[in-house]
Amino acid sequence: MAATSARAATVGAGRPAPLGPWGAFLVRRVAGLAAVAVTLVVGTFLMVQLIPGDPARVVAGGDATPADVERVRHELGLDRPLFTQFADYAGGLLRGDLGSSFQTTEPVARIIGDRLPFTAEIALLSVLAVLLLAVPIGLAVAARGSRRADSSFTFVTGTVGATPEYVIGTLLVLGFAIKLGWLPAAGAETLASLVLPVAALVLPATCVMARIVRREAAQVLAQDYMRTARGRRLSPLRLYARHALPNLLTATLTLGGLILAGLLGGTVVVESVFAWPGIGQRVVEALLVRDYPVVQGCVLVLGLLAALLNLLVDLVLALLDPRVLAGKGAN
Amino acid sequence: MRRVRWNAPLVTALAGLGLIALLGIVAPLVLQEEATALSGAARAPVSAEHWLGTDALGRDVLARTLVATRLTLEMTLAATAIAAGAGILLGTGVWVSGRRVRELGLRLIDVLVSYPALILALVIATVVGTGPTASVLAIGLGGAPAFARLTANMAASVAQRDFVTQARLMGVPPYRVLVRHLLPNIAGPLLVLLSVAFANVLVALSGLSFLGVGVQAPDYDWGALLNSGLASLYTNPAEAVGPAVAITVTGVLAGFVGDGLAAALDPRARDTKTAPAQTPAVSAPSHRAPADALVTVDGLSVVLPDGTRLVDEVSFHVMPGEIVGLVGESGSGKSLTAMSVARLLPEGLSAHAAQLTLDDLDLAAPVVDPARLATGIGIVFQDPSASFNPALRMKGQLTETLRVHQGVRGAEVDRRAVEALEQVRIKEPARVVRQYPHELSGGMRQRAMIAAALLPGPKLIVADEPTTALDVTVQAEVLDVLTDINRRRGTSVLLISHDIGVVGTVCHRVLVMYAGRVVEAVSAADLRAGRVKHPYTQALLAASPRLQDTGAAERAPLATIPGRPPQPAARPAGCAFAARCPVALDTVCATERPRLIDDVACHAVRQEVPTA
Amino acid sequence: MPRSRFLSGAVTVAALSLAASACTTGPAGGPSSDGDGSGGGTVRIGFTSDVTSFDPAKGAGATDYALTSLLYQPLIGQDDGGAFVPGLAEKWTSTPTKTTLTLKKGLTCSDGSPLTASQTVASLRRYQAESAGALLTFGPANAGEKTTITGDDKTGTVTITTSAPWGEVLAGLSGTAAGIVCKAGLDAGDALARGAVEGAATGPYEMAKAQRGASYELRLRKGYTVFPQYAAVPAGEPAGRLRIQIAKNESTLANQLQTGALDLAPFTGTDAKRFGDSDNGSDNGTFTVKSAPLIRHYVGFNQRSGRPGADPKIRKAVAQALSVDAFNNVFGGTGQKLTSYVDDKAPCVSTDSSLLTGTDKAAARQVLKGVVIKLEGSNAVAGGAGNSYVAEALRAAGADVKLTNADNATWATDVTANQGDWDLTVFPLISGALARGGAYFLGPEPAEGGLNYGAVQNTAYARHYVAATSVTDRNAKCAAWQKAQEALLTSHDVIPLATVDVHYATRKGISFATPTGALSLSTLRVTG
Repeated sequence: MAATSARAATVGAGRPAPLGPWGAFLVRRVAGLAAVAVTLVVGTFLMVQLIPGDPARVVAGGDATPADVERVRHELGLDRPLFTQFADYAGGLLRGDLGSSFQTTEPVARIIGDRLPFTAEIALLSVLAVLLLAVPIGLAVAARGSRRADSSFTFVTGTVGATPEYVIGTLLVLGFAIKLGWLPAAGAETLASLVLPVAALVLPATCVMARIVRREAAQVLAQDYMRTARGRRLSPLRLYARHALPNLLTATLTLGGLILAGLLGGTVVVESVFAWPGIGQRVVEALLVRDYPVVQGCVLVLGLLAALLNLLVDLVLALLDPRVLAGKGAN
Repeated sequence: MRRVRWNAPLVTALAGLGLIALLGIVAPLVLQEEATALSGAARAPVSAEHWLGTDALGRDVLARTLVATRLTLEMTLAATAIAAGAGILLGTGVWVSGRRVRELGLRLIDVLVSYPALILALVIATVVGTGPTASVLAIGLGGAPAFARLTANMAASVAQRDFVTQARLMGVPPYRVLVRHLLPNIAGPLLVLLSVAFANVLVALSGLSFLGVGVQAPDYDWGALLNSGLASLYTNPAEAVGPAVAITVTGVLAGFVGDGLAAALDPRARDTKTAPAQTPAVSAPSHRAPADALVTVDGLSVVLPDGTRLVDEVSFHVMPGEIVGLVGESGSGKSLTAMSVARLLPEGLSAHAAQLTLDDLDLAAPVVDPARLATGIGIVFQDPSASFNPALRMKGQLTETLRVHQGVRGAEVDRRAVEALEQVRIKEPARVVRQYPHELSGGMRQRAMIAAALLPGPKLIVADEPTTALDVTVQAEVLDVLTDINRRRGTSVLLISHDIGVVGTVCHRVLVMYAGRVVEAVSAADLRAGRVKHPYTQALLAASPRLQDTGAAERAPLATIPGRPPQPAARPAGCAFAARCPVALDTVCATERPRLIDDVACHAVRQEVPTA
Repeated sequence: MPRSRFLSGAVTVAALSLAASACTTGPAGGPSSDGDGSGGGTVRIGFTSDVTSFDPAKGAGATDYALTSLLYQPLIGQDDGGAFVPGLAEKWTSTPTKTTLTLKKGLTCSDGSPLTASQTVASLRRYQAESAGALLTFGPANAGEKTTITGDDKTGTVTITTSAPWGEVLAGLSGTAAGIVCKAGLDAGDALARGAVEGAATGPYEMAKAQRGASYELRLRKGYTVFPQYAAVPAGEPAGRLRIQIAKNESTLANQLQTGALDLAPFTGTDAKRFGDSDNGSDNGTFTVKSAPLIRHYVGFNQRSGRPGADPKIRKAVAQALSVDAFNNVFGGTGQKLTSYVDDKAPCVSTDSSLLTGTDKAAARQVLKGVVIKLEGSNAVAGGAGNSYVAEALRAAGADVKLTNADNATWATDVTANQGDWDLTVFPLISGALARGGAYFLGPEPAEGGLNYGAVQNTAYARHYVAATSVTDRNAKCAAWQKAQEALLTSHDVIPLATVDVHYATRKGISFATPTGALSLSTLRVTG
């Protein structure tokens, strides 16, 4: 699969700029981020408009009289022209005001402020763990090239990768918390509480990622420059870490960006299993009771977060692979 | 699309999925009653009557799991189709559009793809509501960006190929470019992607059900069953087993179909028939190399794991300060011979020899000191654009051997790198060492490659087709650099080339290889003068434009050699060239291998020319 | 307006606590412990939903009630059998038009300031204006100005007068929603709903630490002595600290309880079985399981003309088609079979099973064959498993059933606000009180601002309901209630099914009381 080329290709779509490669690169990426932000703001605004039914009725309650609904509509400002509403929404965002929860009347910004650190904690730890595990494993399997190792790798990663996170999470709790009593079953009290949720996220993602790494590593290891490096009779560590890894990461992180985004989604499920007070759990809760301001705010912030992470991946890529910066295809 | 090579995992996985699909069709017809009937025994454990127990309403879990197959598969297929349809349209569409639309489209995909699909799906579920249709839409649209990104990646490589560019220049409308040129060429990888997406969609759909926003009763899919099963996991674990196994097994099978397809479509997939490696009988030392030879190769064979000899008992030597050329058609074993000397054979091949030495270093030993190898032999590879690591600066690559094996440190490293580049006549060496390979021209890269090979001060340089990938004008410069090095530093060179003209001008001595054997050893002077004995060498010379035409006014049309060299596994017992040889003798050539006597391996030559 | 707010509140209650765990109308408070307020160690309690409002008048879910009942103490409590016990008030008198309560001496707010009668009046007035449930405390006919609440700081008395006779004032005042809030809280405005207001508490605990969505830590107030004096308060010390932890998933709570991360957690599902048999009071050595009704399920009909439910024969046939035992089994078989629309812990409830129609599938089949029935239920309890059972049972009786398992908000809109197309519903009643649960079967329809979602026209029932809620004499009240229930049950306006119970699994060494069948956290004592 030509997994390597598109990010480099898209990144390199612009022409040389007088700012130098880094300047031009940063301008492109930051402009991209701004575009994402605008899209998200418009998108989240429209989202609520798109929801069938009347938000005012939802807030007022099922038994509300028409007068009640009208009063709520007015209180929420839903009776004003769409553009005014949007201007209010966008203006509020600029002031850091994301509105208030219908259900609990808490400011959405504070809800996010309370919850986001928890999600960020497990998401970032998981991404780190996935990379630290998947890359060496995939590389090792590709380098070994033994048929037996290969087929057991395929079987294990295939099976674990196809198992939903919540099943893995439940099994982990059963084993490590209930039967062995080594780790807390849920909650966010101690550092040990991090282990199982992160493991539940990391296991399937690592398996998927390791397969990608193995496939990409097989390609990298077959490159001429790897033969050149072997000609220098380097230790395996130096050979793989110094010569294979940077090239591997380009492709891996490109696809890894997808997995990263997936991980953010996966936290929703895992938070629910482990009673982890993160933003994912909150957004589901809000969805179920149709607490639109909370959904809107969380969706917006998660989107921005994902875009930021994506930018981070691009920066790491540019540091690792000079061709990304120069805007030439990595193939 | 390439031809699919069926393999066992693919067939097994497809058969398994087929079976599940069959279940999906049959089970609702047969088991519908049983799946909804209230047995009265709620949450019964496993029994002969209910193999997986019953649920909260006393319904048979096994029957429900089987019946749910249909809805689950329908939803998964529909969501996969939506993801794939939207993704492929977007991903390939951008590549048949104009540049502006393309850049915008690729950026949009980047934006969409960075959004967590599950959250996107949740949003869609909020807008559309809950239920099967909503779940399908949510997961389908949620998965579309990732699909678009991967499709765009694949389309990118095809879209930039000549035939697509040409079609667009000729004004073929985008739709036709898409359907006729783009899609067929990425159909293979797309199929792989589809099966992977199928597995992902399956898990994602069950995730929606787990969060309570998926399929709602009275409908049920595996995710909904698993969700209610997990709720009673600690009291009636059997209830969760059925749907959990169903989801995992189907996902695994779909993944295996993907793997199998990828393997079946991969042109590089090696035939992994591994017969026990046979160690060929190594003949007793026979080649009499001078005692002061730098490289001595005696009876070298390179064999595949199944015992096929790709190089068949080759013997030669290289004197200090000598440039020896190895010439032959591709597949003649010249590169493998050189790589055996360099101990850099590709995986799976093994070299066996009566003697294989560089000075006192035994290159055939199981373990050879890496430092001595790295510093004793410098290697120049064929394609300079592919042989430098694109992610590392020139300096690091040029001086790695110095630093790793010779302990050179600090400013000395820089000085040596600059000096080496100067020696190969690279301008502004101080700037070049800080650059990346892609910033240099092909000729510069190859000269830098020679500089890298030279830096540790090797006794031997193995140059494997060093000029093949270069422009003709640059070729001469690079060869100049090589001969210059040889003259000034006395470094021996083993030069591999398919171009008899090149070896004739650069080398002191030339070995001609055919079908894994050396057929003639000849001095460069004799070669240039056309004084060659073996019919194959003569044919090679006749096919080579440069030496024939030197100064001659009459341009005879280039001769071609009819036929092809034999495959290594089908190498005849006698002379390998016999089948194409114009002067082959009926008596011995086909049956008896000619030995290299007086620098030529040919029965016919010795008959016709009894005394040299 | 107040009427519709009440229903809105009730619906929200249904919406939020179906997925949750504890009772809703339960009186709050704690025992008249002789505890000196220093208290025992920390007790960790799990809940499956976060607090939605810290305002006692707006509480709408198990965790809301648990927390606000600890922070804001009602004047009195209602104990088993319907008797009232002292809370912040030490004595009281009540007639259908006038109720007078005398506060205990030396009451303080959590900031140390004295809690006076006039402050209590302010808190009750706010309760009357803000709480949906206040409608049935002071009577539908006594809204707004028609109820006067006055206080005398010197004598420490609070007097409530209603213009129309109403006999439920004391019962209403014993509810969590009527918990007294100090001045700091009354002045805080919306902030009262968003978090615990410093100095506003009148109950035994004050907030020490709050992490929304994750945990809350409450500290026992020093020297607090005015716990409600329920008869069954266990001996022992109140916990010095209560830590309330939120986990969405009951299995998660069970895991935490089992691994020692929690001391008390409520279960509505099968996870309770991990801690011993769920019959009251049983245990498995480490844990004790105590059950209390959470949801009271009954079948209700759309009795508007043209609907199958308008025909008494069909209503009776539906009753004959259903098996209460089978329905109960759907939820694990641990629920209580109902003999009225509330459970037998409610004062004055009818326990006369001869008023019920037994299962007779053959008879049902004769009437129901081919009848098209649109069944709409909420999926909030066990994913709507109960609805599925009723649908299957009616199908088995030959009816052509179209089942809609809606999410709770949609169900509330379609059925209780009667904006949907429905014939029959499985109603998950949260309230355990006859007056509150019975308010759905009389009066105007939702379109006219009433609660009568099924358009029930049972004049006998309505007459007895009014009689029962207008007297304060216990015997007269119960006699009227008996007649009201008889009228409702014999005309099959309601078909009682079973309760879904909440099972409180508690680690040994901790005990609490469940007056009128509801968890009261302020009776929690560390016993061992």
